[in-house]
Amino acid sequence: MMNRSVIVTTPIPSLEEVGASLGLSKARQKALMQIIVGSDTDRPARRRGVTMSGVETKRSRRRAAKRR
Amino acid sequence: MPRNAGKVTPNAVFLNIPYDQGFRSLYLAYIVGLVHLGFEPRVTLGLPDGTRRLDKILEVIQGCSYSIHDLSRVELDRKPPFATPRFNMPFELGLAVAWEKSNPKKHKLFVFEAKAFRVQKSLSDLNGTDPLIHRGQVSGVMRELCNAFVRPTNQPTVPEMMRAYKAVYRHLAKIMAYAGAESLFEARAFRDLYFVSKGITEKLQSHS
Repeated sequence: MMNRSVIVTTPIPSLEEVGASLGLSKARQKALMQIIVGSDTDRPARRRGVTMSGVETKRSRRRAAKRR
Repeated sequence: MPRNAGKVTPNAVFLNIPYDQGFRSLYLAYIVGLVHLGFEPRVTLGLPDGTRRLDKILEVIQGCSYSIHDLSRVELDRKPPFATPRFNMPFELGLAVAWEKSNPKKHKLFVFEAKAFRVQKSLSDLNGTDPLIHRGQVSGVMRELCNAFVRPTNQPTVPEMMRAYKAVYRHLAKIMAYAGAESLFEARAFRDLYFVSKGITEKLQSHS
């Protein structure tokens, strides 16, 4: 009944296929592509906290206070 | 249980998880993790209320080859007017169990929990097989997804999945703004999140 593991061999859908299966219009896909293209995937990983740019976190406040 | 006349999508995974702010990061982890593993996550967001909702939930389960049932929210929900446990997840698990029992070749289900041995107490009918324990952590969800779904080739690693998660997380505010959503748990936000996760995952894979 409850499974622990399965081997998956099904093909992985492409981004275009995903967009089509979600019923997203071309215009919407284009708008969302801006986020994808602009995403800085090389940025080093942070350990904790909110990482949305422009959002103040405890750590950023602490660092700003130190700089002052 | 009605017979399924519809098509079963081989890559589709039904996500039976709580939709609340405290579960936001794990919700995102499930979506990004499944997309990274090449799956199509499906949720019950945007389904109509009433008896039609139950029919639709059944349809979603029957259209998926796999389902994930996260039973980590067993605490009382203290929201007024009454403090109650949340029965939706075990109820939908019951539906999936019945569906899998009658169609073992069409559907496989996985139970995820935050704490080891808790499900043996909270839902002892499931005794016999251990659930996958994520410890309430994003990396735990990624790890257990990798344990549950094994690809003979191109299996992503947990650090790769975490990288995708962090890249998507950084753009949550933008995704919400594009969708005009107040909460991540809205159908439109889910679709956009899925699409962006897929795009970022592809981008990361092309870089590596």
